[in-house]
Amino acid sequence: MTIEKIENGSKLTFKVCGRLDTTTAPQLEEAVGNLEGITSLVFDFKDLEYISSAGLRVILLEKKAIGSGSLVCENLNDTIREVFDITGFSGIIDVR
Amino acid sequence: MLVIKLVGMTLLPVILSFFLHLLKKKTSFGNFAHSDIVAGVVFGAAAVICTEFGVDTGLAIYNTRDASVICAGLFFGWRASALAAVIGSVERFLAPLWGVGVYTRWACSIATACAGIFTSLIVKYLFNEENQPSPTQGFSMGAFIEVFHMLMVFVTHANDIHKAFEVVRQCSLLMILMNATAVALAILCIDFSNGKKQIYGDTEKLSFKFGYGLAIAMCIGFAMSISFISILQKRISDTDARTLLASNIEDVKQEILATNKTSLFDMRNSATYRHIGTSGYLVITDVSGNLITGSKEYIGRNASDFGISISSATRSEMQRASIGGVDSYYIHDVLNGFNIVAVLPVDEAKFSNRISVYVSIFMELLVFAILFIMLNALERTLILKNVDKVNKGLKSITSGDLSVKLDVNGNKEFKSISESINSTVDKLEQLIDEANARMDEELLLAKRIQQDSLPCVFPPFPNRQDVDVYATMQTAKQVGGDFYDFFFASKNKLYIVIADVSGKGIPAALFMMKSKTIIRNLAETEADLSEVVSKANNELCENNEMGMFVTSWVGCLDTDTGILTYCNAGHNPPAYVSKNRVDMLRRVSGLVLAGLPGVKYKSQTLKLEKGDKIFLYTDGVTEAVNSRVEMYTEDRLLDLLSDKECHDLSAKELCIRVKESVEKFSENQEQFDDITMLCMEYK
Repeated sequence: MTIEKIENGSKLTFKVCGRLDTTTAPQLEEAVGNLEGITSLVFDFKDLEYISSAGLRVILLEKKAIGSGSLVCENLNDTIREVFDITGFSGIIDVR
Repeated sequence: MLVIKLVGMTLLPVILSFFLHLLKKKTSFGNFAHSDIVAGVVFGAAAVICTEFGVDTGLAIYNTRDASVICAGLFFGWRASALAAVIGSVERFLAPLWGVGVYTRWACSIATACAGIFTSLIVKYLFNEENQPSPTQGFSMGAFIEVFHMLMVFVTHANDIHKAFEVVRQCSLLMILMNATAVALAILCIDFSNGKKQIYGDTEKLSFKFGYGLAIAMCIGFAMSISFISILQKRISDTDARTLLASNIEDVKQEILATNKTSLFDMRNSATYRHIGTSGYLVITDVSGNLITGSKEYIGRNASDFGISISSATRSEMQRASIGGVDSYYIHDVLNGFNIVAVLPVDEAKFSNRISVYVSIFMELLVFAILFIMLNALERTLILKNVDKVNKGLKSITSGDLSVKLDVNGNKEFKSISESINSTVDKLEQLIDEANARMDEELLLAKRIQQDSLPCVFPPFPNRQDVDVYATMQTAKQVGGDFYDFFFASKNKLYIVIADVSGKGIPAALFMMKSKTIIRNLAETEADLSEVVSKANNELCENNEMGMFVTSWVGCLDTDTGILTYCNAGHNPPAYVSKNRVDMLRRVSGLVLAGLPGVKYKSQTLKLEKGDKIFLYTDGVTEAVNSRVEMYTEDRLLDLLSDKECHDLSAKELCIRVKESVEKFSENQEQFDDITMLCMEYK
C-alpha cells in the first residue's frame, strides 16, 4: 500500500493505493498523524482495491479526531462503495 | 627557464593521468577491455619523454619517469604500471646508445623497473574499490621510489663513491619532491574531477588510527636512529680527522729527527710531496709563519694570509678555517723552530660521515616504509578482516536471521568471540522459542474459553420441533473477533446473532466477549429489538478509546407467528433461503455498533414460512481468496444456496455444505479471516 500526502493549508489529502487491511492500516494511521490545525481531511480512494474492518476503523478514528472538521472519502470504486453502504459508513462519512 | 622545465616535468604525469582518466570516464574508452594496456603504453611513452627531455645537469637528469609508472598503476591497474615500467626501464637502459647520460643508467633502469613492481604489487593487493590511495599515500609512494632510486646510485657506483655522492647530494631532494608531488597532484586532480570529498581514510576507523599511530612511532624511531647515527658519525669523523692530521705531523717530525735534516731544502722535501688523505696536505713555515714549502707563489708568504693561525696557545689543537678558500681542518706543531701544519679539507673529513648518514637515512626510510606496509597488512589480515567478518555476521543476526553462525577462527581471541556470540544467539533463540511456546499455550487456553463461551451444543433444542439452529466459528489465528449467539429470550422469542469485531487476534477477541455479553444481556431484558441494538451500541461506545467497532446482525424470531424481526448494524446481508427463491436481506438499519453513540436503529420484519431458512455468515466466507487472489463473493454463495440440492438440507447440513465449498475454493490458501456461519431453520 502506498500513501501520497498532499498538504494545502488546513486541508489534508491522502491518496491511498492498494489494500487497506490489518497490516497496512497502522501505516495510514501514522501517516495522518496529528490533525492539529486541519479542518478538512480527504481520502482519495481512486486506487484502493480493498478495505477491511481495520481500514474502516482508521477512518472512524479520524472522523472522531477531526471533530468539527470535515472528513470526505472520494473516488470509491464499486466494491469499496458497497462496504461503506453495508456497514452504514456512508451514512456518517461524506462519500463522493 | 630551468624552473619552468622542472615544473613541466613534474606536471607531465599529472596532466597525462587527468586526461586519460577523463577519457576513461566520459568516452567508450572506459569500456575498452584493454584500456589498461593502452594506459601502460601511454605512460611508458611519458617515461621515455622524461628520459629524453629531462633536465640534464651533467651529473644526472631530473625527471619524473618513476612518477609516470606509479600513476599508470594507481589509476589504470597493475598491468599499466608493469607495462610502463618495462618500457621506461628498457628505454633508459638503452638510451646511452643515443646519447643520454650513462652514469645513472643502471640505477635509473633498476629504479624504474622496481617502481613498476612496487606499484603493481601495491595496486593489486593493497588498494581496491573502497580503498583508494590518498594524496599523502601517493606522495609517500613517489618519495619511496625516489629514495630507492638514490640508493641505487650509491649501490651501482660503490667503486667511485665520491662522484656518486655528489650526484645524489645534488639531485636527491629535487627528484624526491618532483616525483612525490607529481603522484600526489595526480591523485588530487582525479579525485577533484570525480567530485570525491574523501573516501580514503575514515579517521574513525581502526585501520586509520593504527596507521596513524604506527607512522608516528616510525617517525620517532627514524628520528632517534638518524640522530644517533649522525652524532656518532660526527664524533667518529672528527676523531678520525684529528688522528689523521696528528699522525701525519708525527710522521714528518719523526722523519726529520731520524734523518737529522735541518736544511730548508730537506724540510721542504719532506712536506711538499706528502698527501694527507686525498686532498689534504702539509705546510711548513719558519718561526714567523712564512711558508717554506709549496709552489713558487706560496713560498715566502705568511701562513696567516691563507687563513692559518699559528700560536702557541693552539698548538696541537684541531682548528677549522677557510684556507685558500677551502673550508678545512688543520693542526699545527713545532719542531726545531719550524711550524708544521697539517691541513685536511672539511668535505673530505666529513665525507664518510655524510655518506653514512645519507645511506642510513635512505635505507631507514625504505626499511621503515616496508615495515609500515607489512605491519598494516598484518593488522589487516589478523585483526581487521576478522573484525569485519564478526560485524557482518552480527548484522545478519540483528536483521532477523538467528540461524547465522559465526566462524571466525584466525586466532584464539576471535575464535572465542565467534563462539561466545554463537552461544548467545542460541540462548536467545531458545528464550524466544520458550516465550512463544508459553504464549501459544495461553492462546490455546484462550481459544478454548472463547469457543466454550459460544453455544456449541448441537442440536440445541432437541425438545422443540419448530426451529433448529446450527452454527460454527473458525478463527484465523488462535483467537478471533467473530461470534454468533442464539438463545430463547422468552418461550417463543428466539434471538439469533452474528457479529464481526474490527480486526483479528487478541484485541478483537476481548471486544468480542464484551459485545456478546452486552447484546445477550440487553436482549434478555429489553422487549423491543431496535432498543436492544440502540442501547447495545451506546454501551459499546463507552470506554472505547481504541475505536473498535463490531458489525452485527441481530434477529428475533417469534416462533408462534413465524415473524422475523431484525436489525442490521453494518453486517453482511444474510441469505433468506426459501422453497422458491434465495435472496439477500439487504436492508441496512444503521451504522456498525460501537461506531458513534446515539445512533437509532430501525428494525425490519419478514414473515417466514415453514421450511424457510436464514443463513448468517461473516465476511470470512465471502472474502475467502484462492491462489489467483479471487474472492469467494456473495454471488458464489447465492449460487450455492440456490442449488436444488440445498433445498432439503438441514441447518447443519447446509452449513457443512457451505464450509466445504469455501474450503474447496480457497485451495489450501492460508485462512485470512475468521469464518463464522449460522443457519436457522423454521420448521
